[in-house]
Amino acid sequence: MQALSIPAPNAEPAAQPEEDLALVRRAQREDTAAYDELIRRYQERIYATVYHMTSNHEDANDLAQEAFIKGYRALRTFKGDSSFYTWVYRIAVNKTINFLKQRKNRVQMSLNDMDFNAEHDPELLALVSHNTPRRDLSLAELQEKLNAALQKLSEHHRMVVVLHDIQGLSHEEIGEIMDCNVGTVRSRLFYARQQLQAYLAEYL
Amino acid sequence: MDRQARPTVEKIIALKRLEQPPPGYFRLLPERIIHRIEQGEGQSNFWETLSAAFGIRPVLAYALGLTVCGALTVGIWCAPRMAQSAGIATSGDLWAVESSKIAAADAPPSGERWLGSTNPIMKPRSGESLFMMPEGRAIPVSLYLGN
Repeated sequence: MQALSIPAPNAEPAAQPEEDLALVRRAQREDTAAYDELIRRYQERIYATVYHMTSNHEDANDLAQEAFIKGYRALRTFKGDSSFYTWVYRIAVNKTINFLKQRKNRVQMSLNDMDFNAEHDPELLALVSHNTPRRDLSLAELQEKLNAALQKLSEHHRMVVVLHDIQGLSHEEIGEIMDCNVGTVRSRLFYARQQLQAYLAEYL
Repeated sequence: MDRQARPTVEKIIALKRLEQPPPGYFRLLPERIIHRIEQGEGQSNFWETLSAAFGIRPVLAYALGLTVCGALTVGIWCAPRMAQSAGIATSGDLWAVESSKIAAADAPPSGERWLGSTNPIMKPRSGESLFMMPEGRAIPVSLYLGN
């Protein structure tokens, strides 16, 4: 079997600003086909961000749909100052943070399955066995512990980790999405990684 | 942060990228969203549009809240002074003003000794409602002391 390495984050936002803008202009004239195309371009990123924040597929499904619906209704306010990609991300991020504040301590994880090939990937198996010499840790168990550790972070710290370490966005993009400066992004990321290291110390 | 541990944390975090939604999920998601849009879901009125703007820029909500509170405070502070300077009687003064006019109309020819009372004979019931209207008109009592 061919080794499966952990896929690189989507550093390139795949944003094609001019094409996006043309689609947005059509969608602003209530052309739902154009908006459908915009959804197809960014659904995976939006869903993944919300999913990694909530650790719950059903919540992520609802929030991703609501974010795109809200985006469509608010399209008339889109002036094109930022990319559509950043703009719709911001809607999803705010919606998710509001949802998490309301949900507060009622964390109920509903995790997606890992990529099927991951469980047979030598590199990942080595990672698990290498990092947990004292006990037999399955990949699924590590997945659960990792999600539980992420849920212990504050919403803003978790969001920075999700956007940077999982989604592969730059500090500048995260600052624009979260409406804060790059220094704040860096310090949140540093603090969040420290926290995660403490929570996952047993497995490191 | 420990330089040796840091890559490991990042590598473990990267495991999250392997978590995938059920097969075919992304094929159906756009259809569901467009269907909900075409059903008219999420259509907003003026207030919802305003709150949506606040959702994107919460600072706008704070700014509006502060402005409204400020305007209310200034309004409450200035209202009595403005009323006084404009000569508008407050509710407590209306009885006195009205009865004084009637008393002046009833006043005897000049030169006679006259004492007028502006105290109304009828008073509105108090204590039941702040917005209660008086039941009748006050008639001042005038006293002629005669020759």
